[in-house]
Formats: sequence, C-alpha cells, structure tokens
Amino acid sequence: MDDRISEVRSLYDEHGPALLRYLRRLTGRREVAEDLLQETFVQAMRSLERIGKAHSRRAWLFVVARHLGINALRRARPTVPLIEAIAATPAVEEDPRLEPMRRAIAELPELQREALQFRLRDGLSYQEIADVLGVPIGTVRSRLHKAVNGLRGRLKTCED
Amino acid sequence: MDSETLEKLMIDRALGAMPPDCEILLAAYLETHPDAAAECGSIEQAVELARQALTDGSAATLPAFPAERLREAQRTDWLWRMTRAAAGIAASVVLGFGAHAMFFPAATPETGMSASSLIAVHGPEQRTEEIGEDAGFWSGERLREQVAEAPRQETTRLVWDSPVRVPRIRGAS
Repeated sequence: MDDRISEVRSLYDEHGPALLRYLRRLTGRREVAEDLLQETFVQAMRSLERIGKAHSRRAWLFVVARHLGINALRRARPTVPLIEAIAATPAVEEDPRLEPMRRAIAELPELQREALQFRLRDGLSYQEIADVLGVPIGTVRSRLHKAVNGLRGRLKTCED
Repeated sequence: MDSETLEKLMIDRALGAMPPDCEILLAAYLETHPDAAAECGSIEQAVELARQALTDGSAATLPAFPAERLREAQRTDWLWRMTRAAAGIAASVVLGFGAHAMFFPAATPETGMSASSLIAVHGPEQRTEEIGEDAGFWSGERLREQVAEAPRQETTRLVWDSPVRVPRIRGAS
C-alpha cells in the first residue's frame, strides 16, 4: 500500500510544481489550484498501472489536471479574467515590449494560446501537448506556428 | 528552400523543438542566406519575448505532499471494492436460486389444498376386508386385530417445507 504512495510522492516532487503553476493559471485561484493538484495525484495513485504504460507520465498528469481544472471552471468561473490575469503580472524594470506581448498573447485564440503556454511555460514537447489536448501532433505544430506568427505580427504593429 | 517550409523550420527551432541534426543543417543554410537569417532572428526574438511574458515571477510554493488524503482515498477505494464484491456475490446467489427454480420447477399442491392439510388415511372398509368374515363387529378378536394393525394406520403426508425444494411424501411405504 505504501509503495504506491511513495511512487506517487516521487511523481509529486518531480511534476508537482509545473502542475501547480498550470492549475493556478487555469483556475486563477491558488487554493482551488492546490486542491486540484491533490486530486490529480489521488487520481494518479488510482491509475498507477496506466501511468506506467503512458507515453509520457508528465503528459498523463497534465491530462488529468486539465480535466479537473476545466470541470472546476464549469462549476465556478475564475474571479480574475484570463486577460487581466496575464497582464497583471508585476513588472520591475522590464522590457517595454513585454506589456504589448502579454496583451498579444491574451488576445490569441484560446487553442493557440493554450498550446503556446504548454510549450513555453510548462516545457511540454509537441508530442506531450498533443497527448494532453487529444489532438494529432501536426495540429499542435500548426497551432504553435500560427500563434508565433500572430505574435510577430502584433509585435511589428506595435514597433511601427 | 521553400520560404514557407523555411519559416516552419525557423519557428520549430525558436520553440526548441528541432532535432539537433536538423538544427545544424538549418544553421548552415542561414549562414549563406542573410535574409533568412534576419527573419529567423525576428522569430526567435518574438518567441523569447513571449517566453518572458508567460513566465510569472512568482515562484509556486508546492504544498506538502497530501499523504493522508491519499491514504484516505485508498481506504475508500478498498471499501468500495469490497462492497462491489459482496454485491456481486449476492447477485450470483439470487441468480442461482432463480435459475434453479426455472430449470427444476417444484411440484405444486392442488388448488385449494394446503400442503400441511394433505393427509391420506386408509378407509375403515379396507380394514374390514382384512379381518376374518366370521368375526362379529363387537367381537374381542376384532378389537385385538385393530390394536395389532394400529401402526399401519399412520397417515401419509405431503411435505413441502421450502419453495425451492421438491415436495416429498412422508409415511409412504
């Protein structure tokens, strides 16, 4: 019985911080994110055999966390809208282009923004993002390319 | 190289998703194509800015490992498994009785007659035939015959003490 818990503990230590960041970003509330993080690892303990067979353990955990987060959002909308949540990051002597970039990211289509965040913020590979979102890897690549091109366009507009 | 393909390769490189051997080939290509190199620089700058914009300075403090919650979940799961197993066994028993009743139907008593009241008794006329013809009705010989035959007068009963058992006849020779 304790073997399973110790195995889950090692997963928690390895992937917990990234999952917590993701859940905080998704739900917009720290306490909700922490509760969902615990629930994610309860699910992980119940499905350790399946995790072992998964292509990527990290992707599997992100899938569970994403489902739990989306369900939580359905029950209660976040108190801080996403655009404000991204834009409200405290800035101390930062690059003046960062603010327009945050706005540009916030205004990206949701699917593109989600893929971009998984790649740049959580460090997931294309394949892992595809596993989490349940789409082909080509779709992930396409979304990321569109997102980057969109950001470049916005950045050029701001610079001009 | 096709400009669209080149752009895709440059974005993959900026996102850090390009295999090392492809990266070497792309770097070699960019060395000889300054326009493409300038565009590549622009893409990498945009991706780097996006990376910085997405990185919030606040470090997420990981809460303590929820060991107690996991143990509680394990206990709940165990109870749930046991309950399901017990329910499965109970369902199997009920199905077993049902199948038995379906494939081995028990004999049912006649309508209007309860199983406990079904008693077969030898009639007195039968006994008179067994007693000698020359013995009178009030004779001592006849009385002795009756006493001697008393055990033979035991009743025959239809016993049906369970709905799932075949009824049996008690007292039948």
